[in-house]
Amino acid sequence: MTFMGMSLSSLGLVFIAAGLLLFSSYSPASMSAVRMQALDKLSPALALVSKPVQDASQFVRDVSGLANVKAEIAALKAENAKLRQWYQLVQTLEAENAKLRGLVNLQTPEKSLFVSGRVMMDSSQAFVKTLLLNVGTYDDVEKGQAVLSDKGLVGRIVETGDNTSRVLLLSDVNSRIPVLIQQSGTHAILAGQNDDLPYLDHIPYDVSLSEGMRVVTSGIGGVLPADLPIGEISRNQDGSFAVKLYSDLENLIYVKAVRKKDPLKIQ
Amino acid sequence: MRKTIQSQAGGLVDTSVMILRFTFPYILLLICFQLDVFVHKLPVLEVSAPSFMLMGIYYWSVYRPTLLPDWMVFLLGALKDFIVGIPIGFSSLLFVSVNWGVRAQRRFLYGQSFAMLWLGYTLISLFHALILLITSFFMHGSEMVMFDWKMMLCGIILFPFFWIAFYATHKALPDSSEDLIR
Repeated sequence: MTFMGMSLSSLGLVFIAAGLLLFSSYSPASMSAVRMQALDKLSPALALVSKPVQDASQFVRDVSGLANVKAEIAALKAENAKLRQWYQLVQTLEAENAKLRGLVNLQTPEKSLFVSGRVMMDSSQAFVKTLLLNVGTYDDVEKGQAVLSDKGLVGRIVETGDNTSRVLLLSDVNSRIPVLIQQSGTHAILAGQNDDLPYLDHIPYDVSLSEGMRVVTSGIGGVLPADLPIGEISRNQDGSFAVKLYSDLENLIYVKAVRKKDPLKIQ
Repeated sequence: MRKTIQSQAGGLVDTSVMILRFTFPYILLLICFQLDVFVHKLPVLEVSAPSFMLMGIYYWSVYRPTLLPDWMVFLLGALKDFIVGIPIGFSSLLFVSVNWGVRAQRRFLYGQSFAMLWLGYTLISLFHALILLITSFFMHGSEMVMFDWKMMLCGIILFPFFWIAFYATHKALPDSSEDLIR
């Protein structure tokens, strides 16, 4: 028996798929546990299968980048000279800062600990921007933890399994992070829009912002720690403000999740 | 005695070769699945990668539908959704719909020139881009909706290369009476 050339079993599969799609779209949390359990079981195979593809992509990137090597070396030399000057200044400021903190008896926040993990998979699809990491609850990774690359914040943990976890990238349309614009002291919300440049929302009208201002996490809400570097302000063609991220979200291999407290410390 | 051993060994080799021949299409599909799951931007071009699985589903639905039954297409889609983190059922629905649509037109597509098949794939690519557009609209609202024509174009340009690989494995397969158009 067929319906428009489709067998009844195929039609059944279409209905099952449509039902699953509706259910998982309207109640993503209910499918999250099932998904992470399945990924935990699949993680060794996934790591094995993803390796050749990641290596091949890296090779193509390396080869295509060879043409720019000369210009890149010149840029790095200039940056290095600039950083040497900064290094001297930072050392002076750090010493001065420590002295002043001692004078006012300032309570510094508890130092964060990190859990490093390898990116097993980058799911930067048209309507979802996530990473899958090879660390999970067994490694003290928890929902809501901030995730950093060597350059800055990349996102936060949204799903955890025993040995795997999923990171919602800053570029995802569902990502909202409270941030602080350091030079002006302005608070705002960094919102993803599924492209490389997340935008700044809820900026007060009377604040003047300019390109190049540094954006860090504000720590408001207590979910993410304060002062994690995110990026610099850049201006869109329509005049709105976006943030050029320090981290390259497309080429992440190792990242670290920020753990707030030492689990071994007896309370 | 020697003749019997020789014929038994020959039979074993023939069986192994046959199994290998039937494995090739699945290896190619596995590569397409890998690319679908792990490659989201084409390197150098920095354009969203097209769905490589759709190329495989299209080819085998036209020439050897028995190799890729609906339940397998459904499961591959579900597995992709599980791994990638998109709403479960999205890829299954897309893959099963394309599989069904192509099979419905199989009588027309079978035996057509490559140019005609390429045109067929262009329509599938368009369908894929439209489905992404509609899903984005329902998930994120009208502000985030964008028709990804670059992804569609890349898929159309890359299709002939995949077609050659599928064609080569197809030619290595023995004829199947079940897949003939009557």
